Amino acid sequence: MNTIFKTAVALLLIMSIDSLARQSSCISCHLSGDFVSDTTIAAVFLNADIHFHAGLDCSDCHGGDPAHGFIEQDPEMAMDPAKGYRPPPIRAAIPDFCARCHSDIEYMKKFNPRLPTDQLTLYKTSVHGKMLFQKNDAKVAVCTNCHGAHGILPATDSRSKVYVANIPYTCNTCHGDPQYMRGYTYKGIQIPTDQFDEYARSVHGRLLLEQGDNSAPACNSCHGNHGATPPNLASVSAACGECHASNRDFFVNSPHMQPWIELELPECEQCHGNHLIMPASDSLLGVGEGSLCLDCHDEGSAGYEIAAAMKANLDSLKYNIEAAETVIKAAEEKGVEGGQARFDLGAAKDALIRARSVIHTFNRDRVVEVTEPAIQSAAAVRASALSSLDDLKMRQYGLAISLVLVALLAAGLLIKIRQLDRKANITKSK
Amino acid sequence: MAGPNKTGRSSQLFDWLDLRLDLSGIKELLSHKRVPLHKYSYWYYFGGISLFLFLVQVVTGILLLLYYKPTEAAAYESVQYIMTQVPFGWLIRSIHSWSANLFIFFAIVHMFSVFMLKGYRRPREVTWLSGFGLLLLAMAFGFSGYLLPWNQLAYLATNVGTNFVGMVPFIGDWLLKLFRGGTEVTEATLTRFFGFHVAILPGITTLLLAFHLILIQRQGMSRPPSIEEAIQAGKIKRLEIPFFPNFFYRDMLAWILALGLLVLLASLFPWEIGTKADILKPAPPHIRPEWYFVFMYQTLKYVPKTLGIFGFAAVGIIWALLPFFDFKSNDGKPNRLYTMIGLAAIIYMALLTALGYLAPGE
Repeated sequence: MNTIFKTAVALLLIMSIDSLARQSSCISCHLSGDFVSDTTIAAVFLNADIHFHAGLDCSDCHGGDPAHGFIEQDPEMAMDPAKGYRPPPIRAAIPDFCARCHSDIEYMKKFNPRLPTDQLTLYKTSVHGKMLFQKNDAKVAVCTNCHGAHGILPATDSRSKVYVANIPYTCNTCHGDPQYMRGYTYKGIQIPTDQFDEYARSVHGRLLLEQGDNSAPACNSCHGNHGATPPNLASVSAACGECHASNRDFFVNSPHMQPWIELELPECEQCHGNHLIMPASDSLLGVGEGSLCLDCHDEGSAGYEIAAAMKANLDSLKYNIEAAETVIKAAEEKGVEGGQARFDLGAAKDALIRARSVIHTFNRDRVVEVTEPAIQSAAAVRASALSSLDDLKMRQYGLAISLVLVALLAAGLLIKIRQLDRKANITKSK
Repeated sequence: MAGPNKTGRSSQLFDWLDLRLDLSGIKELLSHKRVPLHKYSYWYYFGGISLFLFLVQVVTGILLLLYYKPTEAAAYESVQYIMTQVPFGWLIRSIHSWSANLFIFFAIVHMFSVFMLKGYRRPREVTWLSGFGLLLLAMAFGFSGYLLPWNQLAYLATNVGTNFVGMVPFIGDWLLKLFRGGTEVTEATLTRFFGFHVAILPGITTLLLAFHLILIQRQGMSRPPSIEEAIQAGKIKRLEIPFFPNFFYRDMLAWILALGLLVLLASLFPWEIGTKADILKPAPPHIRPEWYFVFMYQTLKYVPKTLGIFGFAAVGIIWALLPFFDFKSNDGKPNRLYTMIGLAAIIYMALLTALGYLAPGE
């Protein structure tokens, strides 16, 4: 009953989806279950596959002669190798199978001139591709692991496994499985399988996975996708610099760059980590608790002094901003309009953000250039807010004095009225 | 036209003015004018307080006019400037806003006190009518003035308020365009409301107010029928006080107390300016008009809007004409039915206003 129902629905689907011309023995047999037990492949293909929607059918990938086979009701004829039938490829053959079309620039242009055609070329440079083609390791990811086979969705579709917010989960299918990853090493060390857990807790992961900010980086933003590879020392900061351009620029021109090269340290990663990148706090700088500067700079060294001084600059700016905000808030609570003061304070807040970037120059003077004017402007805002609080006091005194005057006047009038009434001998009727 | 028995320069000045302004006539009138004194006399002061608050509106309004700019780009900023930069600007604007609300409040109190004490009865029906007209004008002042700071709440309230105008059958569309200066609430509406607020309404109000005051001065204060009856029955004495100076000083006392209240409210609770109107922002939930429109706004949630608008127009007209049919009071007898009607109106307004504030808005 269930099969009959499914078949009926599927057949209705076919008829409603496309013209009869696209009916073939592939669909006819693979949906009805007459010759094959698994009908899901055809159903999934018809339902959502991007190839189907682009006007392609089974024979465009698998060859054969399904039209003739449909008329004759002969599966052998439909899947005749003499007619170019290509059976489902083994895993190792999948990249070439897909690349038959996807690397053909002329062919792909017909669908969308902007489509890339370098996937296979890139794939061959990736760790996955090298393992597959050079070491015959078919366990590595091939096209279908990420894209699927018969229900392939465009990467812009939120149901797709390669949709940006789904990528960490897709990579984690293999990379989070300790059993599956056993034996895979990088520089002689077993590859960890906790990348996803770390990433999910990182500032990037929380943005993408929790807050739905698709501009946050997923795995492929740093590692690439078809050419996926662990970033090397130079390319780590290049990947970070894609978004954090100023910070990277400041760093590569900073006095740290040369020692970093000499010590073969990864640029950004050295201080900020890789998968578990937490929101940077000011405590990373300076010589206090949690400072990273102390990892290399001992007390008394020039680096130590500069770190302490830059941190002091940031702290001073933060203190001045907070102090101004406290006074503005107090004034607002007492009814003084604080919009202008808050607007003026905005410049100091912008400067704090800029200063947090400029510290990557590790040049105290450049930090002071940013913080000093901002400290002065925040102090001026605070002074102006304080004076408006003084105004408020004046208002209260004014109010008190005017109320006393009003009361005196009222009392005087009351006495006068009493006098007049007595004089005229007026008493109120009861 | 000889002046009173005065000597010296002040006498000369009085004579000089008297000759040109007929001061003696006014003085004569004042010396004869008397005001009834009884247990409800204090209700008489609410009209005076309303007048005082109106005068405050005129003075503070003129001062605000020196800085206010009625354009979409500058209205909000100019009010902000008045509140933060102009010396005592915050006080002037707060007093203007507070006294506007107090003015309407005391005018409503005044109207109901006149109604309950049957002060409208023959020959004062026209005074009542002119007073009712003044209350409507006060509400129009409130509605038009509310938009002028061009803040978000005012913008939305004006949208909702003028929408009701658009629901008037046959001429609704035309009226809506007349009020808005187009199909939407825009800068055209702002300049139009500004025109209503500072030119058209003050002009009409001045004339009607003068008419109202002249009638009161000519006819004097009315004594409630219940007091009149008690006097007739010999239960109480017929008491009167001279208008000047006895009643005049009492009135001044009320004005001074109103001034004290106004200064207190304006200083302790400066009128907020809100956020600048953003036409593209969606309306927040629970918006409601100014408090004196809330009972009508709330009613329109329970009845079909067109019916409600017609209903309020009809009730307003009937309310205005009620004095002409209060034959009992005209004969000097207390009219319980009218007292009940007045009470019902007060309870209805209070209840619906309370509901409007307690129940979530649209």
